[in-house]
Amino acid sequence: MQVRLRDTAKLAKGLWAVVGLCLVLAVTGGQAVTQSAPAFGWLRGNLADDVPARSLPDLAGLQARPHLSFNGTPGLIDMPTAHAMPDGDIALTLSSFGASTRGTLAFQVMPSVTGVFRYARIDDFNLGDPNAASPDRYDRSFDVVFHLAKEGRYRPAIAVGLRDFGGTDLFASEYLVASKTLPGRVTVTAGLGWGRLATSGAFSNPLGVIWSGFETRPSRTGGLQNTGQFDIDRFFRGDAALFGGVHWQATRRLALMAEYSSDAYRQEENRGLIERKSSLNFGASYRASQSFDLGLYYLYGSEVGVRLSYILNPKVPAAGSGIESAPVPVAVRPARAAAPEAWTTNWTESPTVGSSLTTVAAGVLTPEGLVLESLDLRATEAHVTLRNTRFDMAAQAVGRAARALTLVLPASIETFHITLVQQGMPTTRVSLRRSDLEDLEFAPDNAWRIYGRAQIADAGDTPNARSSLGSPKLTYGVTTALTQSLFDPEAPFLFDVGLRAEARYEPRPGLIFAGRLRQPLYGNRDSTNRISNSVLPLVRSESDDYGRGTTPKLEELTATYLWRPGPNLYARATAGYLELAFVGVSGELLWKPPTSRLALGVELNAVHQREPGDVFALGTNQFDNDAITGHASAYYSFENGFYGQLDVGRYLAGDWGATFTLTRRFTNGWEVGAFFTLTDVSFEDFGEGAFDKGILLTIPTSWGSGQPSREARSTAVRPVLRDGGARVNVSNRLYDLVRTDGDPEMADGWGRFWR
Amino acid sequence: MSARGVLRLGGLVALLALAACGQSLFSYRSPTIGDATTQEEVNRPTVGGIANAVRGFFRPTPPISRPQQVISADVLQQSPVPLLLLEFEDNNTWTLLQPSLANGAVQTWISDTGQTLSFDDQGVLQATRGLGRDLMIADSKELRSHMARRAGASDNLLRVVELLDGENQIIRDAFVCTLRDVGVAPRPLFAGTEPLREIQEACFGAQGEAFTNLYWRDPRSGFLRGSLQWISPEVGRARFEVITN
Repeated sequence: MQVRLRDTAKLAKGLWAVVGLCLVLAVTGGQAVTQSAPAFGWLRGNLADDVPARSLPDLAGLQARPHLSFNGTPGLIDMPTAHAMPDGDIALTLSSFGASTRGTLAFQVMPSVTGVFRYARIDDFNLGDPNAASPDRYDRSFDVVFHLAKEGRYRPAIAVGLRDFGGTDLFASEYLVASKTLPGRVTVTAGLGWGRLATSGAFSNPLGVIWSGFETRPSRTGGLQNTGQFDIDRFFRGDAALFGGVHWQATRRLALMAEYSSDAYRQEENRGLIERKSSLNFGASYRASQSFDLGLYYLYGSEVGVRLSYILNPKVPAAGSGIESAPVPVAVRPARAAAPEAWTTNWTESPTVGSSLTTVAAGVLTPEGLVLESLDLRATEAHVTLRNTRFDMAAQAVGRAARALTLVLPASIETFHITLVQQGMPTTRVSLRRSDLEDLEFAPDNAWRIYGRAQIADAGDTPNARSSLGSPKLTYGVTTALTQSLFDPEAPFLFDVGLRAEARYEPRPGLIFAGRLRQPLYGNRDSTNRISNSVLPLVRSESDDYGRGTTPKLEELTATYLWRPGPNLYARATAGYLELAFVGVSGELLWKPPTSRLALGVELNAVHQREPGDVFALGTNQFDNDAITGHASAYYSFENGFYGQLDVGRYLAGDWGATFTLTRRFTNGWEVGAFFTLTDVSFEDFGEGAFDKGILLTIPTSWGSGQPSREARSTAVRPVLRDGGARVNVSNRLYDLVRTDGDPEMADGWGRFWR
Repeated sequence: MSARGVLRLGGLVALLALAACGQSLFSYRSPTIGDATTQEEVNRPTVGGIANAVRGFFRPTPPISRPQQVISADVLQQSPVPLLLLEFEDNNTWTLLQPSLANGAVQTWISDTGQTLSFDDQGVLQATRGLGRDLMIADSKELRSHMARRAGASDNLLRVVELLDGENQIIRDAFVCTLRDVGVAPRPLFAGTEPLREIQEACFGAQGEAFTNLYWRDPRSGFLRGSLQWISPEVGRARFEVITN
């Protein structure tokens, strides 16, 4: 057995991938974090690493996680199998053998569809290519797998997969595969591959009996510049080959496997990067925990490979239903007959009672992270407007506010009208009867019974408060800052660390002056030096210039006004330094009834590009770009948890087109989605990648910490950032600002009302 | 390194990476009405604090003291309110709770770290808040009326349990429970062993899940002295005993 020994510089370089995985862990909050550090001593150990029999993770099907292959998808070693991961599973895999290192994110989009994003590096693949930016090849690719049939008693699981569709052609292949579990914890797999999966042991395409055109696979024209287009005319064409193998689950944690591979590794072998002596691969894998899985493989008669996978499921948060402290219980009023004096409304005549009740109401709401915006008390009704600074689920904020108010408000007040406020702008009003709170606190099915009795209405008839009782007008501070940028062809991981100063001044609710200035202290942002070859205005393709050096970066300096122009309408006006690369004005109008799954919006921006490396200067030379951009947008939350968005309009490079976004939205705040933008810029003018596309990931902080939080980490991962289909970034876009306060999201989170 | 060690190391790396970004160094907010009633929590990282956190990851958890070693007679005598002792069966960790508000027959108890547990007037657990996988609500009214009559054995009492899943949806699980009187025998309480009557409540769910609750009654008065009750699949069972009156 010959193990390729790489020189130490290469090994050091390989660390980027490990760092990347650590960062992903950091971003996800890592289930491991809270499992090993619960918030208080006496709870330590309650949330065990190994899940007890029949618990909620079991219900999510996590006991049946399939084995992952070298490619980070369910498979044997290098070949795929047909089983799907449990619904919602996200598998992060890092694998390496010989010259190849692959980092993969696989997502079980729905029970029958798997989506995959892969970032691969092949050392020295580009040696001898004078055009290459680096001797190593960095390759980004997408796969999709359709699970056509689940395994039955006699029927095998069947799947069809498209690997690296529309990518650089490095891994382009299609396959049809069947897997069947046999007695003795043995799973056998057989498949038919095309493209790269038919480079060894190939024979004439059996689909040729349908149409002779299947027998030849059209070759790709052009080089890197022509990547990114969907290769529908190549799918399942050309020679085919058989692959297959056996997987044996020897113990609960250990599995052994052997396979016959139909991948010849021709391009790697031609470059002397691998010596393929055999088509047989052997491997062992060890499941360290429900989340961590390791594999060790002997591949192609000459190489040793390793794989590390971290698997999580958004449906299974680290700390169950949360470890935040309990709400205050409902304070039950004495019966009116027993204590009539407690029910008197005489208090309304006292001039001082109102202000002292305001103070005590703020006193019970503030510890819950609920900031009192205004309080209006009548003999039998209370109008309370609140900024929810803590709870990611609006229903939990409303539930806690209602219970806290029972502690302090006079008994005669029977109805609580609780209005939620976002950035000074009222959104939704929830009206609750106090006697329902008292009756249902310990009643069966109390979540849905209180939902049925609550009245949820638009608060569009409420103007912004004249001044906020509890929200500070001025806040400022300094934090540490880490920024990163991935996939630069010359330096795949660019980052800097430094300090960020932030200030926010809100003289009246809804009128906000905000600024963010970042001072980088250390980083590697200067280690890329590529010059954009774009033929469009350089609105995004030179974005690395904006991160360069240690000059201060003015990330935002804006004046914003948010208000409700009418029922179901929201409006925003913003002016100033909107983002690192653009200065200008932006206006937006959104229609979103609180009970509607549909929202519609329009946005108009007039911007000028900024000069990289200067705090305030407008762009000159290639950065002297003006743009009028704008979009009409439709947002729709589907019944099955998917969310679609369509934006039609004009983009920063002056191109016209539309962006399509489809996201799976878990009701705990996780979002995994994909988007693409098609504009009137031709694929050729766009350059590498053909059109703008990427994946979206939003991870709520509460999922990892078990503590409620309105914070979430959102990332848009683009394989390449070019100038076509680019939009300006503006803070406080309306839909994302207000959607959590209305249905379906408020109703979806209603289970937390009593939490 | 053990699997748990790997988990902890991964967690440590993730924590350090998290600490590196977005850590507040100083901040200011203009005064508001809420400030008078709450104290701003200052949570700034110190070198010693970080070092302790790092050491904590690798230090084995120290053995847990028994409540009898910690709660002295003085503490009990000086407490102006009754105290509820809670011990988790899985790991023997424990805490004390004191009475909070009552709603009808349901009394809520609160720990000094802000978790609450609520019991009906027969001592049957109704709800928990803040335990990680909370019992949102238990519908045990058949058991309650049965216990109120001090009746012995019984079949087919319905118990419905509501939990909150990871997507914030209420999941309802129905159990059929059988009551059995095991008789009077010496049972260990906080202060020592006493002869008590044990009532067992064995519950079975539709998907094969099962748990058993135990209730210890004074053989003469029928008064509930202690219990061992199931909370949720992840949290398991806990012992409850009011140790002062």
